[in-house]
Amino acid sequence: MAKKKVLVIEDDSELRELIRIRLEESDFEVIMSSRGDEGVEMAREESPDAIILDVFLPHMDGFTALKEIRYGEKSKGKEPLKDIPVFVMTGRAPMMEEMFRLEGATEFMTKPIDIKSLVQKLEKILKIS
Amino acid sequence: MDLSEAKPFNFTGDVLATGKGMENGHQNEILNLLVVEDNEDHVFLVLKTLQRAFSKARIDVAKNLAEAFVKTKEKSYQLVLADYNLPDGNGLEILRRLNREKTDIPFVMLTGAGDEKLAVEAMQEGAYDYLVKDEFCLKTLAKTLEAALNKYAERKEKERLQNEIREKNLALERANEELKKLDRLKSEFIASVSHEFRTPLNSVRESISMIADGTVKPGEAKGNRVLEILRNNIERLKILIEDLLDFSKLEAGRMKLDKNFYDPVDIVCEVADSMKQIAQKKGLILLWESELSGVEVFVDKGRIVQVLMNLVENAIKFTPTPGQITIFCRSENVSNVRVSVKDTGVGIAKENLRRVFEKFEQVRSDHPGVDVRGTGLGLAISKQLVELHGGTIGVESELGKGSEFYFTLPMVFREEKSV
Repeated sequence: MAKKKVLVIEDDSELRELIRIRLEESDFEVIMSSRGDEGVEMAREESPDAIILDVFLPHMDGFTALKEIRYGEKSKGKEPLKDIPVFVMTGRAPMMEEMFRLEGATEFMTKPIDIKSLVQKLEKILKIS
Repeated sequence: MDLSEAKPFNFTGDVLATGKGMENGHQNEILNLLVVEDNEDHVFLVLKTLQRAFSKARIDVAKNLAEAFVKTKEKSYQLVLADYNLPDGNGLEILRRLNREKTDIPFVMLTGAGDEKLAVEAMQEGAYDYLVKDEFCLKTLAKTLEAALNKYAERKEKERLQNEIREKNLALERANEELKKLDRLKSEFIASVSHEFRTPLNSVRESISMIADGTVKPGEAKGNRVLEILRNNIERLKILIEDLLDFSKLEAGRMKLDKNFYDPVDIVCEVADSMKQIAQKKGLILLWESELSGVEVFVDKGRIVQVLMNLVENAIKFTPTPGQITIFCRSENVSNVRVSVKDTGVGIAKENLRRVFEKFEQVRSDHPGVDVRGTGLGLAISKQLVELHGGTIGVESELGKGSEFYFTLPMVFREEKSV
């Protein structure tokens, strides 16, 4: 069976690296971006199976990125990604949860998150193992 | 002259005697009074009475409305005494005009006997008082005017007090708004601080958990890398706590400086030496130049080193390889030393220049070779430290063309010091 592909959009390079190690150890394929706009592009181009999205990002914040992923740009001939699981994590303002849920966040987590249980949730939702 | 018209004002010795020795508080100030009256006899009697009662009064006379309008326009009077019946209209017109022009001065109406209805009308329109022309009129004239002047003074005092209260209320409201704003800023500050802690804390937690559950093993490449990340993030948390303490001390004005005399070139040289390796490790060249000699600064050395280190660290962070960082040390003018850190880095967009010294205003960059991870407090602290030393801090930069951060410090000459 082909490996499931996860896109990690997080601007802190070391946390990004730790998430990558964790995911790779659990046999995921990992692609990464440090900025919101680039992350949205990658979501469209690389068709990942799930996305892990930080909120406070350069160039495009996580909320805008989530809306772009869910509803964006039919005009470019690309279908919006309505069903892809998006795991949102943030260190700021847990009260934003409602907002993100309304825009279709699969999960909303406040840092420091337990990445191991995040990986388990991913496995469950993608029906691996 | 038509004497019948003057009848109510029949002169008696008595009448003039009444004004004599009149006690009033307005006697010592110069009073500008306007009397509007067309009957010359009446004018004469009124003038005599007033001159006795108000020794310092300057009394002008207008014979009709037109003259009265010109006079009230040319001069400001403390009181207007006007007859109701004037050749070109009624005396109330003067009051109406004063009201229209929002000129509040005491206005006293003179009416003929049996015309009390007119007097009531005048009072309703804002006259201070009225007098009925009869035999007793002159006896009470001075007292009536005196009362009008006092009423005016009281009214003005009341207005002044009301204005004062209004102003004080406004000042209180403004102070309250300011406090609310500070409170809001403090809450935002705390929210931002917690955010700054959470990401490195996440990395610490995850590193430990990976080693603990055997996902990675120390001694192997991945395990060693995770340990390095762990150390880096603990260091980051330590710097964050130190920065926060410095910042809150500075904000509260509780930062104490341990000042002494130093050669600024020594400080620059020391910082350059300690940062050289870090720069080299990233593949950057760090140089320093000085045009100064015989000059000292009176500073807390540890704090100035902290400022310069912060500027050099930032330059290293924001300069991709290959690049160069140069520390310049020269005199800004006859009284200030200028230390600047110039890099060949990514630069700062014009719209962000103003914000770089504000707390948590980290300029984010995803330029290749630039990894920005700081506390967002470094430059805000540096700014306050430099200003505490009597200097200024600033930056010149253009996107893509590098940045030059500088600060100045008041200089002391060696000879000056020994005196």
